[in-house]
Amino acid sequence: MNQAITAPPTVAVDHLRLAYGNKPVLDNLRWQLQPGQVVGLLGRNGAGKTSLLESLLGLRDGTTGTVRLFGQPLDRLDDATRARIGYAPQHSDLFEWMTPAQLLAYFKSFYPRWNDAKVDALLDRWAIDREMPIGKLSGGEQQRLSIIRALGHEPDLLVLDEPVASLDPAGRRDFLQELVEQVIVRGTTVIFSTHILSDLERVAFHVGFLSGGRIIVQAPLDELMEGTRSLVGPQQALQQAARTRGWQVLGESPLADGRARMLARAGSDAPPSSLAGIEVSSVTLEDLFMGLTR
Amino acid sequence: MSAAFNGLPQWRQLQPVLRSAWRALRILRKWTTLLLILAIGVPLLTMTIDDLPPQRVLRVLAHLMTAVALAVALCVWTVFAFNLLRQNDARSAALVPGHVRTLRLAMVGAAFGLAIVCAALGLWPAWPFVPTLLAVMALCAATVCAMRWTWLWLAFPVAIVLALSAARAGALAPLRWVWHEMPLGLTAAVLSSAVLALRAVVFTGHAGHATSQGQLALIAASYQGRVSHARQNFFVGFDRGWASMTLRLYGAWLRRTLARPGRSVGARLALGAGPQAHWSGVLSNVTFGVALTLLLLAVCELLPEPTGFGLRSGMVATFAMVSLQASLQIPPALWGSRREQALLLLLPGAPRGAALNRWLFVRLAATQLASTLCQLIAVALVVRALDADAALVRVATISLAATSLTPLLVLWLWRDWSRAGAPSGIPFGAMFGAMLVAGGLAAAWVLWLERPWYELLALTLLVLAPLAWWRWQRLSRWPAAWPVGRLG
Repeated sequence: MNQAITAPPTVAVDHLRLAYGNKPVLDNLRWQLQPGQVVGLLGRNGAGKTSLLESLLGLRDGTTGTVRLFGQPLDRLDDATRARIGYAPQHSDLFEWMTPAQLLAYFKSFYPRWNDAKVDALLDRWAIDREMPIGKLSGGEQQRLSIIRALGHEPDLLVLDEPVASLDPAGRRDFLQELVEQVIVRGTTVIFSTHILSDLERVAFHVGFLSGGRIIVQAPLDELMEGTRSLVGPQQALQQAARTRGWQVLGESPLADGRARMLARAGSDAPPSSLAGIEVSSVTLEDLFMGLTR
Repeated sequence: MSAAFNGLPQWRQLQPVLRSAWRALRILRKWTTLLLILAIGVPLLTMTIDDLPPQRVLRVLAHLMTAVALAVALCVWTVFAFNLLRQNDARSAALVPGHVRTLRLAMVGAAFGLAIVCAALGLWPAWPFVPTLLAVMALCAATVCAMRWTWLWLAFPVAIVLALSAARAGALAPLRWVWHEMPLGLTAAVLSSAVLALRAVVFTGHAGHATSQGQLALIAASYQGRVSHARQNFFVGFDRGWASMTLRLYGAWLRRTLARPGRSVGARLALGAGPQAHWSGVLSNVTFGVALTLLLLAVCELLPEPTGFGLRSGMVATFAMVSLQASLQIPPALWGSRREQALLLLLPGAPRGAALNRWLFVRLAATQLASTLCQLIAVALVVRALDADAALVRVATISLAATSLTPLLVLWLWRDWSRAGAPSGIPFGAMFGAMLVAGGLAAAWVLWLERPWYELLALTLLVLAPLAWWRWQRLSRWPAAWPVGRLG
């Protein structure tokens, strides 16, 4: 435990900026992930999730700011540190000219550690033909193979960019089961972006919302859900209540007749279950997503 | 959509049709460039060694220019046909059905238009108008059929060679008799056959096109630097043999490399960029080019003189073109595998920054030089095997001299890959242009300066050495080469 506290953050991002032409994608972004954290990264389409994940791994040019992985600057990662990173990109149709067996043998040849038993078990469980060219596999099979490749060397940091986008419900359940039973239990730090909120609720212990080029909120999922309320009432009354009670306003949208809907997160106090003249209700992750990434 | 479309004036309907043809041209840019340059370059190279009497020059020039115009027209037609096949397929179609109908009508109109233009141009070298028109129509129909059934690409050259031989041997006399006795009947037969062939491809868009769509998609993918197994079953004839030979050699090398844990990271990393960017893929394609040229040379041996000599000379001159393979193949292949390169950069031991640039520099140089060496050996062996006469030896020497200049093309491979863009036709056209210039220089070296080809090779390497040093120095300042062009 003490070791976990003294260990450097697995990911430390400071003042990260990235722009495509004149359009800023990441704007002075600061982010830290501690060892063992499992973070679901949420954001609208085009919010820059993929850009952020690729920038974390040094795959994007034109970024400014600093990124450190396991305490090492990104541009000076040693081989031992690189061996601790696993990445499954959004595009899984890669290495189409190889067979799964060739691909896994190829990647195995680079890593000092490779869990053959786990790889074989996953190939069997997910019924992937080892000798069929990857180009002939279905999109879901390619994505599963991409995940197996990323897990094979048992990384300490696993970056998954929309890992379940092409999977059917059964495939998603299998993948999440694997993630919980085998990966998270080992203390692996996991970042994964997804649009499927129900999956995120089943796996992620933390959620991060990316909007406007920044991580606007990152918190443990349970804490965020329990501490956040949807408030509907007169706009001025809502703002007054938020100010006096020290709530963090996560989002506010006007309604008719001078009323408004506010997403507010209580501080250390328990959130109110009722307020005079204000409708108070608990929120779902979807409410949070809609409110925070507007 | 359809009602709105029907309300548009006819000329407005043609706009999206022409835009779709432009997109098809962009997909096929490399192929059309290759056809154009071969159509122009090979006769020119052949002419450089032909001692023409001055009075024949104008006449030969007229034939040549008309033949080139015909080749250009066929290239344009091929692009049209490719575009139509794309529009017939739901996955690649960019036009609404109404536009496709317009495109089909435009295709038939273009076939007649091209035939009339070519027949009119043929009047300059005194080609008969109607037979030329019919021949162009037949060629247009044949081209379309060959895009639908790709094995015909192999059958047609053989048929043309056989027809040329038959013409020389007087075996086409019955056809001439039919032409003289029943010109209208023969005209009707050719035109109706052409229309039927066009109808089979142009006017239908049913599921029967799935095979040709698969083949075309694979061809387009290979020209964009990707190798896919997805539709390999559709790949027939030489194309299939070519693709599977490349993959087989690459696969064998992959197995061999992975079986030896001591192999360097660089050797393993190079395999990750795919067979088209790997030396095994380049050399297997060079081998294929050499084999194809040898096959055509063997066919030329069967032809009577002077046709046989002319074609043999052209084929030997074409050998030099095969050495362009590395420079043509590697840039789009590296572009096509840039997402894979991003993953490779995360692997332990993978070089980064300047180290990556230097590693790639050496790899690409070795591949280009090996490709050139294969060409030199092939031409030397062919000349020896042919027991050629003095004129053919002279052509072969020019070819060797032109090949000796190709190591300079490695400069094209030693560039700032981080800024490379998507494959484009312009550099390929420029490269073929450079090859034509190289052919001219080589001809001057051999014919006027009367120097041996290997001196030109030595001179080339001498020039290349300081250029390589200059580039090597710049490598450390350039951004990392991978992922090529960066992810977007």
